[in-house]
Amino acid sequence: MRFKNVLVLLLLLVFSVINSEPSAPATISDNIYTTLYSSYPCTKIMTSDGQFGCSSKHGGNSGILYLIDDDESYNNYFSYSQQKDIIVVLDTNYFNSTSVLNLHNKSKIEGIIVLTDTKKTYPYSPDSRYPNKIYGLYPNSNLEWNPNADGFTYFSFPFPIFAIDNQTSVAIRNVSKHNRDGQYPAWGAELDSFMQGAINSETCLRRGFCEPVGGQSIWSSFSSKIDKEKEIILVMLPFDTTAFFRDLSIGADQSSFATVTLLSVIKSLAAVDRSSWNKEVVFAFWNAERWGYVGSEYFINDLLNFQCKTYNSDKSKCIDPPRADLAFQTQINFTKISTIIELNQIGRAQLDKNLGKYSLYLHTAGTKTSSVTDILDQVASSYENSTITFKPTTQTELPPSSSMSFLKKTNKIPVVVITDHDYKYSNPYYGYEQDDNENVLGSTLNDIVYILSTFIDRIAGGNNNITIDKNFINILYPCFTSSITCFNILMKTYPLNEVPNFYSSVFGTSLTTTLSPYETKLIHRLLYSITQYNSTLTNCTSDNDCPSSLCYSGQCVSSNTHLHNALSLGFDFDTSKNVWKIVNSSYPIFTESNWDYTALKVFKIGNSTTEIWFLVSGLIELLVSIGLILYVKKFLSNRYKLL
Amino acid sequence: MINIAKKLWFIGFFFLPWVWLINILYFVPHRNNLNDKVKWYLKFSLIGFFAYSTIFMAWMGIYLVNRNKWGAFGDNISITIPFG
Repeated sequence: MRFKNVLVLLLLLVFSVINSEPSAPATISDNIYTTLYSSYPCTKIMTSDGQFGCSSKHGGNSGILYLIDDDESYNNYFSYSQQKDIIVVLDTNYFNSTSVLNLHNKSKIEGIIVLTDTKKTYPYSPDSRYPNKIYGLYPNSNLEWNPNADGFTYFSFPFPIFAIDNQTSVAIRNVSKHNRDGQYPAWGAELDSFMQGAINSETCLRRGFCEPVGGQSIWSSFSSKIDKEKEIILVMLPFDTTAFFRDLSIGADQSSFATVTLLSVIKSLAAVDRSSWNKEVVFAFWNAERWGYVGSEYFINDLLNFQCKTYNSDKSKCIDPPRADLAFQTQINFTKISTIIELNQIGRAQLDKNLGKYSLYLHTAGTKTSSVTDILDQVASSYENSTITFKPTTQTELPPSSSMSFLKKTNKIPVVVITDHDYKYSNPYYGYEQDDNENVLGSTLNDIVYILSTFIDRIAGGNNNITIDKNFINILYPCFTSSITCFNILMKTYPLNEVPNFYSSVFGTSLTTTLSPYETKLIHRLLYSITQYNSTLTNCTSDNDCPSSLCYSGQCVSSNTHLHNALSLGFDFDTSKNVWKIVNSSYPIFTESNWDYTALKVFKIGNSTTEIWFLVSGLIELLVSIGLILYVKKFLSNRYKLL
Repeated sequence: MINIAKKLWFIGFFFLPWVWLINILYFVPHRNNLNDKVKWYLKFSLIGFFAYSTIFMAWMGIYLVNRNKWGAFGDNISITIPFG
């Protein structure tokens, strides 16, 4: 008996020594896979009658990497793909609906990795030829504003598609070339972007597998309280962007150039004497506009139809229907809106060689627009060294714009939409990740800001000399078009992803638990600080210390800046079942699928001889172990009667 | 012997076709010395097993094929709804 105990103790000791070895690897999977962190998945969107986007299988799709970077490799794919599971590594030039659908329809494909180390050599937009057509003012229009579009975004793919950043692209391109040479070990990849939602919005909302696309719009005014008797000049823009890979929605020309312009205009107007202004100026940044003008529609509907049934104790909020901020009701009178100025795509002003100036186009609608455009012309022409000129458009219809939501309700408001295109978009990459800082003319920014600031000052009734804040513009512009890491002190947080991304994202899990991405919060905070009217002497360390105001550099600051829901009027929240429901499917019904995580991992694959050797040696090891155990057991039981 | 056959036969009625199958399998070693009464229970256990299995499998096929088409009803009769 004593001997048995000693033996057991000895065995335990041996095992514990083996297990506590410090240099032991974390897991086998860590040794096999390398996770690429700068990867951006294509996700899935559901509509009222279907879905588009991508999803991998549950657990991911994997295969050997195959590079398509020229016509030869493209054509060879069809015979090569018969034998193996393949992850296609696609040069950006082959990323369009014709080549990808051809691959998908004529061969087997496990997934696609899109490289971003080179630029597309032709103009391309994966969006539609008339963005938001059916939700706009002219649903039966024959115009095609976005001629380079092929509608790639709106196809549904049963396999995952990922984009990777510049540096990773170089590495993946190299290892795929290595695969092409037939060298071993070869490289493979596992793409995991399993989407929970399926079929359509109604089904996935009922199951709780998706959420409505939406967000928070932002509006602001210099006045501490808007005088309801005064006329309102509404200066606005749609600030959200889209791209096939939504994490890469920079949308420099699509929106962010205009956002930078408007924030800079407000910054320069904040410094002037506004006592002579006889009109109220309201600045609005609409969200989720790319999904059927959701933000502006919701705001207008609230202005016209909102009635609160139950208020909270101090009447600052509405509990039923829930609204966190009632300033829109107490301050804005829809019938008092006398002028609408919208900045749309203005980043690529067209060079007029005769004038030697860049021209922007004025699209007008409603009544008496000439009284507004005349002032703009006057301002532009009186600025001597201006590189910008304004031209009236030759089109009778407005381009896709947030103003359409207002014109649906009334045609009495003069509307001016400023764009960089007369008819067809001058933006060659609308809704594509290449719509970045290289796609817009940063050199025109200062002049545009100066002219628009002066123009807004004049129509509001002022006569000030405007000085633009160049330091502010020099920080803001690169921040919003190439790397959104410049306001970390203001935000007190660091963005998850360095790429500026103004995709509206999902609204939230209910009407009261809303979700705002970093970019929305940043614009709100910037606007709040620019239009501040009062800094009380209360010291603070965080926003929680300031009742109904925000904390900036240690002091509580008040501003007439507000968030407003941007959610399609087709959705409502069913509080009894705790799910979103569709109440009217004639409104845009876009929902984004939920997912647990997405990952792109690469691994090495041996050639078939090595793989067979691995299998055989593994089997031999197994058999030897079994034999050994049996032998030891027999030996021990014979000799010591132990087991 | 007759008690076991009888008990299992009744239990099987509670939507448990596998119990009927077990009823038969249990008596396989004793197949040469079974009386007619036991045989009667075993015969109908086998028939019941096939009848129930057919119904269950048919229902499973119908349910899996039409689950999504039935909309809210399809989701309500499901205990777990798979993703995707």
